[in-house]
Amino acid sequence: MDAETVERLARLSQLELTEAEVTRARSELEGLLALFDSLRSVDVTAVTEAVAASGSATGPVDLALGAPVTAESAERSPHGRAGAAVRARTDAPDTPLEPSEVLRNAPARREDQFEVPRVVRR
Amino acid sequence: MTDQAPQSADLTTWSATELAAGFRAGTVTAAEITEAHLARAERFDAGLGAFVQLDSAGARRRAADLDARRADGAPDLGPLAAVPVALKDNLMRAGHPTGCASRILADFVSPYDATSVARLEAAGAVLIGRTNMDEFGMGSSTEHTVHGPTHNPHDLSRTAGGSSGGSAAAVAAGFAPLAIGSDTGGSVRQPAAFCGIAGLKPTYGRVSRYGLVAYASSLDTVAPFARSVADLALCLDVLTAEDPRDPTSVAVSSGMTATTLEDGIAGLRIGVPAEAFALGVDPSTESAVRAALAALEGAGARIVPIDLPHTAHAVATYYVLCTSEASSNLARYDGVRYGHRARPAAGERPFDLDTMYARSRAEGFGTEVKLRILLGTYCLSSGAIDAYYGHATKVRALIRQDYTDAFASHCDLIAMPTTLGPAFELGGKVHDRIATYRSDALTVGPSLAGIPALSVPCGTTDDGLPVGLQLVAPAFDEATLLRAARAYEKVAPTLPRPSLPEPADPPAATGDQETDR
Repeated sequence: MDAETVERLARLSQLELTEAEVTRARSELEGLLALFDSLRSVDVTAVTEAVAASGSATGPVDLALGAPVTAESAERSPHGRAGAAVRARTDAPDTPLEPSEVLRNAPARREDQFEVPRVVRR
Repeated sequence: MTDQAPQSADLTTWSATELAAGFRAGTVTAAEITEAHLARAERFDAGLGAFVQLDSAGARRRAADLDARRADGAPDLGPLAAVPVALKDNLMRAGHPTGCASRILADFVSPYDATSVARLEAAGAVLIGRTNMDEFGMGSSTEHTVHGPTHNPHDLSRTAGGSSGGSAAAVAAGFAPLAIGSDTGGSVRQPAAFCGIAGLKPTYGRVSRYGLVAYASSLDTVAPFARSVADLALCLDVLTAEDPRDPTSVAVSSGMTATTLEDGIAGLRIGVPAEAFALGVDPSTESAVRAALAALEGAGARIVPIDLPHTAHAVATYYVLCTSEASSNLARYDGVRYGHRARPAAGERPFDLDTMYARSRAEGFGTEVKLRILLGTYCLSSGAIDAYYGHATKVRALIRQDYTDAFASHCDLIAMPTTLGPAFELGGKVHDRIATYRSDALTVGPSLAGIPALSVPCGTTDDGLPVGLQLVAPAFDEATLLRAARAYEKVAPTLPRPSLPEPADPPAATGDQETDR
């Protein structure tokens, strides 16, 4: 794990790191990736990935969204047990938060909007 | 503890079940209950650090309201009426701060209630304060927190566990009979074991996650602590609900667990995985757990050996997945809509947008959180995603299959230690990340499988530190899980109540206190 890789990860993560943090992260990440690499010994040929914690210990996991599969949802699903997905939220309007509530936590605001540094050049 | 007559004058020794019954019967008022718990917390918490904020004024108002409604003849104020409950600082409560023990959420005020918080309030609970935790749930010792560490009530030099260490310490110390935590990979079961109390991670999908600040969404669960199994069942039955606001929540047909609690475990098959004991369990922990297995057998269960062949891979699988999910989830902290925003120092040029993001996050997140974000970003980056994230999701399927097979063919429940050893010294593991991660070896498996698991106290090590017995059940079978835990609790060794040191200067003030340790 070289410094360049850590700096690339920091950019992707939108994190400013000090030089000392980069040095520390290099050795920490190296150790942890070695731990992760121990998983390579596990044969996963023909294993379907489990993206979510299925609520069912006996049924498969939905691959798209990872909903727990119940007997009822499986019956309803056109894809059977494997496709019994997260139920879509009812497409109905809900009461949104008041703008004043939403803006209450804003670190910087102007009128009813979040203020951010200028993103276009003059 | 519930077997003892509740008529001690000290209400902080009563269980939630006893307090609710006393309030219903009119033998105690909500104000008396609330005052007793607040007084104990105000007196002793300076030495423990369980609370981030004690909401004394709010709890008193709530208690007065409950007493008034009872006096007006309200027939039933709910199953948790007048019961003090502490909340982990990652559960949203409208109009109250939610900080996740992070600088980045230092000034955040929740605009709405978490579903579980709303359900507790609807059930009559008195919410008494927010508890300390590892930042965003990332840690096993409640040391990665802007508030300073939480101490174990049984030994102040040791960790209360984590990440829900504040909630565990609050219940163990008698500041509240119930507390809510969250369990992603063991964050309720491990601190319960360390603090000598009971903690339950429900099936993923049983309790709504709406309003729980997200860490690793495919693993996060809202999870209760109590000093008795009956109280866990009482609390779980309040929390259980399908919630349209959390599409992963499930309608549970067998909703109630409290009704079958006393039915016993005659003939129940309890599987014991050899692999769990091969991970380096401390001998004194192992002997306490072996004694618990013998006690379960004495209570009528059959102990059967089982195999969970992928147990040794659970830690690595868990940390690939939780860091990957964390790196995505925590992208929302950008200093724009809420949370900490970095400001240019005097004389510094105004930030452009990217600098504002990166500096805000650098200032707002602690070391552990930053490291997990970097690690997760690596596991999801092009070139590495198949080898790490993709591969781990497949190992996760194998781990889940281990449990499925065991329950399908061999046993009704699984028993093993909750942790490899007892609570460790504060500062002891904080610098050895891999050792800390490895110490989660026994709790992460059920989390990856999405199935329910609990920890109940099963005596102590030779040094007198609490040990936890972990029981694991098939998905949505919390009723059997709690029934077995209750059967064990009746024959388990009793733990003495921790004796807390008297503060040097008892605080005179009884108003809201915002500690900044």
